[in-house]
Amino acid sequence: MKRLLGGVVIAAVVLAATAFGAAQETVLTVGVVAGSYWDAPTGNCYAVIDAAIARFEQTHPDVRVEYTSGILKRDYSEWLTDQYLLGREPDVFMVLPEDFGMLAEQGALQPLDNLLASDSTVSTADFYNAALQSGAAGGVQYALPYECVPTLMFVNKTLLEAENIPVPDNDWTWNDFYEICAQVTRDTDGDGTIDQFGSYGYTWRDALAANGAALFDENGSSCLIAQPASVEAVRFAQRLAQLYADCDITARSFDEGHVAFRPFLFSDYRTYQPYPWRIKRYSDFEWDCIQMPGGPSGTGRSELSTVLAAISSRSSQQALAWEFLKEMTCSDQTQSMLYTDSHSVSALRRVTQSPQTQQILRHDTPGESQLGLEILSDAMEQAVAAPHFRAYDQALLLAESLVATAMEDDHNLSLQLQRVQREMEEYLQN
Amino acid sequence: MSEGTDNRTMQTDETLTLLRQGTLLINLALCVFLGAVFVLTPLRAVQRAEGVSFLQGLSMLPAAPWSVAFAALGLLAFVAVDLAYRRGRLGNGRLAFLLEPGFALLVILALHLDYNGLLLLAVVNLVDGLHGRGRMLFLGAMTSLYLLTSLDVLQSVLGMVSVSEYLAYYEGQPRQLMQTAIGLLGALNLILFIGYMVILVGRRTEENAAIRRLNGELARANDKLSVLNGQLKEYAAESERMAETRERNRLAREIHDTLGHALTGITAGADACIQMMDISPEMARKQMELIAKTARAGMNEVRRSVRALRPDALERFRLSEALDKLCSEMQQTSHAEIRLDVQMTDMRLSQDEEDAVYRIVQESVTNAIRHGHATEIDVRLSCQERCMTIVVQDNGIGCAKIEQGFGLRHMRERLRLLGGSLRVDGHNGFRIEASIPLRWGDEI
Repeated sequence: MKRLLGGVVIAAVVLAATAFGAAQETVLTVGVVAGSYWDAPTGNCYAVIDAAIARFEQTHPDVRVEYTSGILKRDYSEWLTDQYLLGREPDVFMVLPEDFGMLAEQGALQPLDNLLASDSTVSTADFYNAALQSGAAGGVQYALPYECVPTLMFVNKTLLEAENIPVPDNDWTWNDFYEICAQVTRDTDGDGTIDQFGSYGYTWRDALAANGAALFDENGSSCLIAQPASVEAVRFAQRLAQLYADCDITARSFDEGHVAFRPFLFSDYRTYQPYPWRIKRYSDFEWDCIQMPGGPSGTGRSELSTVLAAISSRSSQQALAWEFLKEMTCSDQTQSMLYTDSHSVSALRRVTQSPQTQQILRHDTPGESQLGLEILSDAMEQAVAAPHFRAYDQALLLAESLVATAMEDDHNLSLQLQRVQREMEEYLQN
Repeated sequence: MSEGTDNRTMQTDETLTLLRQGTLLINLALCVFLGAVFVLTPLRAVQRAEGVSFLQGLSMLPAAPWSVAFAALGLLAFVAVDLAYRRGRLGNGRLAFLLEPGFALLVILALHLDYNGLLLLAVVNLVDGLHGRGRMLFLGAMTSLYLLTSLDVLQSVLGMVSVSEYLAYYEGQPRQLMQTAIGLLGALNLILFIGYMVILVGRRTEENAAIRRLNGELARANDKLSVLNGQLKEYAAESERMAETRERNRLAREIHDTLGHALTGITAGADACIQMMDISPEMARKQMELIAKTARAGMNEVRRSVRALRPDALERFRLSEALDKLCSEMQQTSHAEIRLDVQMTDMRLSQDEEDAVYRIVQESVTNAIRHGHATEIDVRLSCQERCMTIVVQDNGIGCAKIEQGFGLRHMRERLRLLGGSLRVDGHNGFRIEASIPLRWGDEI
């Protein structure tokens, strides 16, 4: 009798809870970064996400989507991990590139492979490969690209014109790059010091990406800096640096028009290209963007920086979360807004290649600028995803200092890089 | 079972209860401590904005802090079930054998599989309530569970973060302290568990030994008893034979006392008659009448003796009266002067004592007349210090060397049966001194 009574009470409680839950509207929480990940100034940083939420709530009347505003990029990683530690993480959230490795490895992110396979409205082929790869770890897709920023080469057209050098094609190579740099690096006013330079800010890491080489393998278990393609890339960077061996090149030199080439994030380009930024910063010279030069051994051109969106593995509303994730990453409306209200690039091919996008870009670009659909889409296609594993940031710091030291040795670079590789692997193993 | 064993069992029971409660306390302390680590460490990291570095130190995304509530609930339920089981509120208690390990498992899972000592507590709580095959099954199941939950692999398969990874977040000394505390409590729990089991097994062995010992004692007692039984049978047979002998002796005594006495009187009277016939036929006739009277009395006595083996005089008179009558009759038949001096009024003597006193006096006086040819006989009965003394002194010829005749031997025998003694002296007339300890001790 008692047991029967207990069963009835439990059933009643469950029923009541279900009824209560059904009566209330479902709340889906979202984690978003305030402002641009690439520090590009924007107007309303929530414009894209707000619009996405509005659309989503329209198609899902019972659902309310909430997010905490005002979490800046520098606080976002801490905020997200804190929410995880407190067990209050949002259902869907943006994942910064530096956090992805740790979160994926710790099982904090919901694997999306099954959802992608069973959902006919989405295909992995919709995305640029490098962008998609940024959200994959160990062969499992944990996140989808929300917005990307490729690296482009910023060209001082005025300087090249003065030297009678045409602006290079988009399929230019290291040789072209080096030749132009060697040609323009000289003393223009005859005071004995070199005051015009070929490039600024092109590092061995840019060369590595261009040559299809990598610093680490995908899961961070070994270092590949002593591989032939890597040595080739570092040697190129060394050669380039030797052009300006005793010179002091700064960002200011570029801003004042004394440098021909500088690698530049697409977001910066978009920020400074339109009026009035353009006038404010680079008033003395005409400039344009082209692809990064290609290395002899690789097809890739540059490293792609991607902000991802993912679902918490502990989310109680996986289906809804997946719907909203699609709204963020796979919806044409949301993704095309990246071009109007943000300075990043959509990882969706059909959006980036669409006539509207082309129109938007053209509208912002002054007269004879080359930048258009072709180079942007090519840059996206040819970009490579940075590896992401837990200790990536620290490993990268160590590698940068070690490789910099190795590059000081002119003759035995490959031997030096062997040593770097050994040291790095020791570090990675621990 | 002896009282000592009972005491010991009670003591071990108390020790077991104490050990069980100690184990419970340690388990509670450890669970609370682990729960606190699992809740407070992330909170601390969040508060100090060190969430990223904390999470980077972990192998997996840890469970949300509120999941520790399951551990708390499980622990409460575990203790509640144990209490109910101990108070007999769970019917036959079988439910406890499912619920306790179940709740223990809940707690273990909620505490990231980091502490499975709770299963040991469940064993400590429940093992005493099972016997035979059930106990083996239960212990087997618990052992498998314990081994299973000890697997580190399971922890990583289930995506659980161990407490040591949490502790790695803390600085050197606090971390060491906490690790030491956890290790110490865990070890203590194990030690208490082993102690409990050892004592439990020891008690069982002791009980078995006690039962075996008691069985042995019982068998020995049985053996002894059967030996005694045989002895008793022999004794009974002996005793029967002795009773027969005694009865035969008694008969002989009775014949001697009654018939012998009468015949002595008749003989003495007849002798006197023969001498008096010539001098005074009148006197002789009187004497003859006396003889006839004595013979008749003797006849009667013999008859009664045969019928009831009981002196007629004593039947009809009290002892002093019987003695009076005896003495006057003897004086008349023998012409000796018999003086009776009874220095006591009423003696509550038992039957055999009265018989003995009467017979001793009768025999002594008869002897004095028959063998000592005495003319004066003093009979004195006195009682001092719970000892009755009978002295019969005559002025007869006495004797230098006392021959142990039938009469004397009988006297001694009677006295011996009553625990008394007999002294005789034949130098100055004849003196018999008999003493009988009075059994009832009543002062006269």
